[in-house]
Amino acid sequence: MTTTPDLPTLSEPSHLPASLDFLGAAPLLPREEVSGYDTLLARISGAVKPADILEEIWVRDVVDLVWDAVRLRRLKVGLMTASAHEGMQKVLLGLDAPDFTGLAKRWAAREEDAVAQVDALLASAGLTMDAVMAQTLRVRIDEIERIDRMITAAEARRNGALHELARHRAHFAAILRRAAQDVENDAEGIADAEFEVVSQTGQIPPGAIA
Amino acid sequence: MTGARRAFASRANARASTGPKTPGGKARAARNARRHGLNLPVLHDPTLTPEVEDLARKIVKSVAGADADPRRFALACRIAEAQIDLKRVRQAKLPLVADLQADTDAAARLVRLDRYERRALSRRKFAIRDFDAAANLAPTSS
Repeated sequence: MTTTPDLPTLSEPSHLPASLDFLGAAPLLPREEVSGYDTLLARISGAVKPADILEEIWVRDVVDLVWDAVRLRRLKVGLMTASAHEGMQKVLLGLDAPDFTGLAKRWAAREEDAVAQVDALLASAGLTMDAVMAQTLRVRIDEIERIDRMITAAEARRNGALHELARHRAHFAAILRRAAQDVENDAEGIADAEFEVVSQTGQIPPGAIA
Repeated sequence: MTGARRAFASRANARASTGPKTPGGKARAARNARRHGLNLPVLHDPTLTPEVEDLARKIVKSVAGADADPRRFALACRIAEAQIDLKRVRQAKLPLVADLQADTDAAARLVRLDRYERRALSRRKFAIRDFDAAANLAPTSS
């Protein structure tokens, strides 16, 4: 198993507003940086300025999906790195290197003599690390494809959430416009009644004086 | 042992072991085929029903105001159900994401779980659209 030593250890829960408890805890893995998630949430919330609970839900969706896509990309790179020795085995097998399995494992463990031996073998065959990564991709193509599909799905869902948020806002903007128009029309009606044209004959209509 | 005696013994032995006897054992066996429970609607889980109603009330109050049409509460319940389903799916996916590098089957299981997320998102989307559309019919308190 490959670890990601560059990520700090999870130290405290994310600072999500208490009013959004129903959305559950921030979807963080152990060793993921809480402050990074909180910063992303604050930035997206600040930009969108959610006006009601539904907009809060979409904002949280967008944050989680952006976080998800970034994480999956990072895991894809990690998977390729962790599996590089398998690709190296394939390359060394093609070069008829003696004890290619052991050599690939020692190369992955960064043993100096193994690294030098592998470098010499690759150079003699006119190959680079690209060949090793290509073989690694071949070995792990199924997992990589699935991760790519999940990244695509996360991005499509993020766009979908933003689209629905815009539709919701447009819908309520239209209702507010209609309501404002109704109020204006009513106000015009009141003004018209206040300034009703008085009969030219000068006669007071019956019942006008109590 | 002759064939007939063996068959008799097998039948007798089989009768002696026809599954769990105790209520605890039966309850455990009833969950043998259960994998993640994400196919079950939220309202089948009595512990989640108050959560659905609470969220629905919050949605109505936030979007439509405290004196909203009661019909909108029913529509908000649909949103809340889908939202809680979504939360359950995402919680189920998280440990698999953590295992992605170590477990070669994790990616395949994640893809299988993904359809539950897709369905929950779709249900929530249409529930919100219906909820919003009801605002056209209700008095414009929103």
